[in-house]
Amino acid sequence: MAFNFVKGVAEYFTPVLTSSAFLEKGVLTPEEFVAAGDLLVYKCPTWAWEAGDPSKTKSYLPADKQYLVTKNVPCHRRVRSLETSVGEEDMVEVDGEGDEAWVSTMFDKALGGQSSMGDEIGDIPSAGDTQMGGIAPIESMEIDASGTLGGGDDDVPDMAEFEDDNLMDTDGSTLQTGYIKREEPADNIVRTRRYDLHITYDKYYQTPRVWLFGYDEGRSPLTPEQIFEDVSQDHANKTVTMETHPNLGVVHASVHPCRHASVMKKIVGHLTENGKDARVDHYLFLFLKFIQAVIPTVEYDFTMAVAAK
Amino acid sequence: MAQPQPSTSAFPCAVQYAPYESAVEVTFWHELAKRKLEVYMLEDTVVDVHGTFQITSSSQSVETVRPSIVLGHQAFDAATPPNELSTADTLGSLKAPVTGRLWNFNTVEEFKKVDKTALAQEQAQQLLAACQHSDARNLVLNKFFLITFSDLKKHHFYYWFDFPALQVAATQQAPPRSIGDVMNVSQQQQVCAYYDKNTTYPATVCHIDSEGNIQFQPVHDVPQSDMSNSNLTVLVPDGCTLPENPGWPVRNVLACLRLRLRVTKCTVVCVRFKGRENIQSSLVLDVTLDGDVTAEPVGWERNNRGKMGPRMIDLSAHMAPEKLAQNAA
Repeated sequence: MAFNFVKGVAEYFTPVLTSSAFLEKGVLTPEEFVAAGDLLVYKCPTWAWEAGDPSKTKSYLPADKQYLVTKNVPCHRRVRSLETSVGEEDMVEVDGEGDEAWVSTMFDKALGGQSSMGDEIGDIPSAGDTQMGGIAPIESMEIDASGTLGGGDDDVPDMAEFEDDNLMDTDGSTLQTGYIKREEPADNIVRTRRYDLHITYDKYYQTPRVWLFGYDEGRSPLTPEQIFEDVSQDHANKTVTMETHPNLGVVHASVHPCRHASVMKKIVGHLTENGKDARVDHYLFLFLKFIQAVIPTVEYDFTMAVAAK
Repeated sequence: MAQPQPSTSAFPCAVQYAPYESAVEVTFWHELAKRKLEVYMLEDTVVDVHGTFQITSSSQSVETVRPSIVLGHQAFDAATPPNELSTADTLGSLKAPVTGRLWNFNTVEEFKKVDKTALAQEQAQQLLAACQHSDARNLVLNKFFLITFSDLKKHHFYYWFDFPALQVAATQQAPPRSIGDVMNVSQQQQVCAYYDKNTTYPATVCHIDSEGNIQFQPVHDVPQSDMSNSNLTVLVPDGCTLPENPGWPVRNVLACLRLRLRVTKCTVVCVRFKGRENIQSSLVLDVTLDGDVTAEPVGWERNNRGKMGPRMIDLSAHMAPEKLAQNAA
């Protein structure tokens, strides 16, 4: 908290970055952030710009483009299940070759003891090719029956009191879905959580910054502890912290941006070494691919034919 | 809790629509709490609220989803319904604005005792009237109604969504087809280009001319007439990814086609976007329509126990000052 205060003051005095330092430092100017955001919104229409609370508008960004959001993103597995499935092998030095090299490097780092040799790169759970069938034991998770959190038990009202069994809920044209739920053997029921993802521009670190707000299947907010279940263990608690969203004033989980620039610089370096054009407006696609290592089971969209290859 | 039904193998069969899912963001409740304290106070209030209907899913997602309506902090902002502001709109975000009504009750007793069947009936009746209305520009088929009670001392919010629905006898003649069966790649691209600009239209009739080009005509622009002899092809973004069933928005569109155009047979393309340029997962249904259109008191959302009841969200961890202090420490 103390640091945040200091940072808040420092941010106030940090001048807005005006000239591009994308290639040298992996950072962005606000204008570059907007350009990269525009491309993200265009290519991945699940993302959109938002203005947020007008009283919290940052002057260095257009009023209607304060941050990017994608809402209601499904997350149907806990990270633990992923890590169980890839086993506990030691980190293996990556024999970087071909287009995927930097990607695998990133995922290795993120997922800790995951092997990354040869074909196994294909097993890296980049959400695009995750299939339920391929993933071994799924851990159960506990949400209390009422799906609530916080406030003591005596505060939780009995929702049955409100129910009305006589109410006509179906007329033959209503598909009876209940909740779409993944049924697993035994009692290991995995409930699909939903996340709202936000990307703000962090003026102090001069990089994008990711914010998460999660909901359980009953649409109750997830507790910080529950959110950490969806964060790769290398990152939980250390780089993911609970902080106040700069444009909404509500506490969100945030991936701390202190290392974003150096990671992005490395990614950009790999790209250019491999003769690829590192375009600044592709920044968010690369960035989100890297963030996926932190929250590998949150199925947000970041695909773009050009950059993702 | 109701279980998913096994795939219906026998055709023809009645069309079954996947109900909407409400997705209310925590910032919406913050805003409601604020308005309750500063504006509504002890009054029961009925206000317009603006949400978005998500018509695209992430190209990453492997999950099946039902259509959802999202309400955020800007829901009360009458001047700027989501999607209608900002230059971002020129980029099109493939989300359709949906306007609904919120009825906030002042006491939990009132919230409990309100006659839900009558409310749903009334909402559906209004929809029916709108459908019959000659002013086509006011044709709104996607609607929601929401009752709330806010316990501001405990930071508990009770809410219950109703998605008003019309009823028409709709029969699926055969298993769903894929979009490739009715449109080639170039025509699919034309559909994508059309929706880049027209996400707000609930339904669009398309005519394919002799050169393979599609002429698009929003349903509200089709003059009321008797089209019982033609087989229309109608595009409806349904916001759903279930492999065999259309989403709830298709339901009112079919009723509207029957009511306004006397349609007896149509091909419905449930347009499903995975990203901006990919509608390959769209579902094509061959449907016959029959009989009269009626207003039904259905559409209340099930709660998280799978029962007909309201939901409650406990935001004490997010709103109570002492809890916030703990989090911040």
